[in-house]
Amino acid sequence: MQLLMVVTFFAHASGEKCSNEINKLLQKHQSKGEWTQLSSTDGDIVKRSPTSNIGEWVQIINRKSGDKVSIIKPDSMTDYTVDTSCMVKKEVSSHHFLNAKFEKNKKDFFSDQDLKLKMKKNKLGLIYVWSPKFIYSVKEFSAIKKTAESLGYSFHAVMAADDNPEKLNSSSFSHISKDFRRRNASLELLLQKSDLHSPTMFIYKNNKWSAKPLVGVFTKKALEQELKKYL
Amino acid sequence: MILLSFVLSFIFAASENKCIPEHIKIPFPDMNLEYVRVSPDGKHLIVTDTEKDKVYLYEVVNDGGKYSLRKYETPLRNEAYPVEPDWEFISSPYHDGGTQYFRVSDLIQLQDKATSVYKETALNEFYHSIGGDKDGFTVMSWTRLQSQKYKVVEDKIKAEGELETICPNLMDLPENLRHLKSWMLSDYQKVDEIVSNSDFGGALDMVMKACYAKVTVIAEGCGKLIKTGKGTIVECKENINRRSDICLEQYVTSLKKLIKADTAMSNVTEEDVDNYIKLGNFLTSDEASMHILINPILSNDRKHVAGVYGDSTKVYSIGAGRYCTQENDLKSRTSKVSFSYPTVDGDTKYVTYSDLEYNEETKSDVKVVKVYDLKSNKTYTIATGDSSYSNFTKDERIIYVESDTLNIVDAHKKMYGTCIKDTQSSSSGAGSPASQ
Repeated sequence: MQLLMVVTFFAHASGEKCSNEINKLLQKHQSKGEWTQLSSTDGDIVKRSPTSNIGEWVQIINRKSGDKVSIIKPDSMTDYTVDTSCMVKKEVSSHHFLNAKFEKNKKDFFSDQDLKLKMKKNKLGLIYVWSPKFIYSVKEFSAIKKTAESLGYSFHAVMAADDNPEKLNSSSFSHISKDFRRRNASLELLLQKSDLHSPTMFIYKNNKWSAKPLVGVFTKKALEQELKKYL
Repeated sequence: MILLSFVLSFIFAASENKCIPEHIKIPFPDMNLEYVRVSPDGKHLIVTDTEKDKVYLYEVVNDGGKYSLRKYETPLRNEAYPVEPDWEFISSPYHDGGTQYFRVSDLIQLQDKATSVYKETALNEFYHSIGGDKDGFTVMSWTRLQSQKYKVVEDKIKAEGELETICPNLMDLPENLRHLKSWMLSDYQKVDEIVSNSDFGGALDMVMKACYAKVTVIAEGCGKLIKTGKGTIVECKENINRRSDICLEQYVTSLKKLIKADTAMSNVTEEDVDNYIKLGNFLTSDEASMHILINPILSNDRKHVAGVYGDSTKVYSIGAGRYCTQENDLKSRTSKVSFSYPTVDGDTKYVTYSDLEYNEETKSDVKVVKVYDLKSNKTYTIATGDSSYSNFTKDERIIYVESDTLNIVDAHKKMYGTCIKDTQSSSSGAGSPASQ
């Protein structure tokens, strides 16, 4: 990990006290304040929120020794350590949050850049994350694509990041074209736990997410009703 | 003599205290899989290879501490699920027009030549789950949380009663029905119980069977007309739909008549009946799948259900009228969970699942196998890495597959530093079942 820059700020707030400093950082990085929670391997509680920029997230780890606010981007990470006296220390690194394998053979992966292009090009769209391990996501692929497209959605599918593209030789997958077999390397999707269960669907409109991810398969009528909400 | 008995009691005590191995690793064929279902004694696994579209039954063979797998070919289809809690049968969805049930002993003996012993057409879905006890078992659907109860009578499976929705109180009603939410939380259960306990089911069944028999006749007639060019598919569909609507109206009228005639229903108003029918229609409709738990699963003892509600996975107990009461909030949107088997006291103590964890050292997320203690609300990380979903054995070992390795882990060691006692080390299988 290459350390690029270390900048230190001084702040004079007190108490739960450092909430002012933390809020300033969150505002600066356009946090949406839509927090989700996960654990860290060290047993800390980690809270994350998307920002107004696709592929950029904010993260807070609360610790006794002080809080840590991080700005996560696909190819860099900025850590702000806020100590108990509210002193803020900034550290920027060219750290790849996602596995470095995504950097090779870029055409085989679906990145945040690809996602941004899709969202810019199409006013209304559905991103369908599927996995050969979850048979429902394979069998319902064509039906969901048809339903989405019949309502005017641009449909794009992405295969889960850890799946093996070499294991798609059977006829079970023949209906899924090569373009829809690119592996998920989008920070934006992965931080929304796109790969924990398949299918997971993401709806966007006018360059923004329209809804929380839809996890699992729904009946045709139910999906139609849901998708009609965003027309 | 005294010395001998002392030595024997010492040996006996030592063997009583012997722990199961902390972590057994068995080479496993590399395949596309996510779900591994584990029998309560840890001896059998059901695995779906989605690339080959095949389901295998594996037996874990313990030959004096040397572990291996014995594979059985099966006729089962994707997402086959065991009938908990004893694995006498395995269900196979979307199999020749319904969910077929196979006897595990037949699968072991006859492998892919085994034949189904029961076929269910009303409840036929992937990702269904099954829980049971000495009185029978319940199958719960994925999309609408509809459930069907079964009994095993003289070795044969028999359906009991009608399809019923689990957790109707959790339904986030669509806008046109939202005004019924408070009625649903207060009175739905009362009317539902009276209807379920009355003879209406049988009487209504007869009315509906007669009505739908006419629909079948129309459909068959239509088929002939289309073949001879005297009718079109569109006309045919219209006729069938018209007749089906008549059946629905007939159902409502009959139900109202039956309710009026029943003295037990004297305190049920006409409005209650209307609301009950409206909600009933919604709960069984396609639309309902958007308004309830995501990734639902029924516990092995069929007393709990878990799934994603709102932003996180929650565990509910199923009470009277199949109403659900939240017991735990895992505070994270996890994978589908798997429940532990109930203890001798009837407690379901844990769920296991996959989730993401942030590694502060590498500054990236990792996939982990976790256990959530439903009593203490504590979470434990059992393993790190890209693995299949995890499952419990009855004695609370955790089994999962990570790439080409089957892992059998002493969960107690990971959680409490104590170990699971080995009560059956000499037998075949991956260790021992807990006291039954």
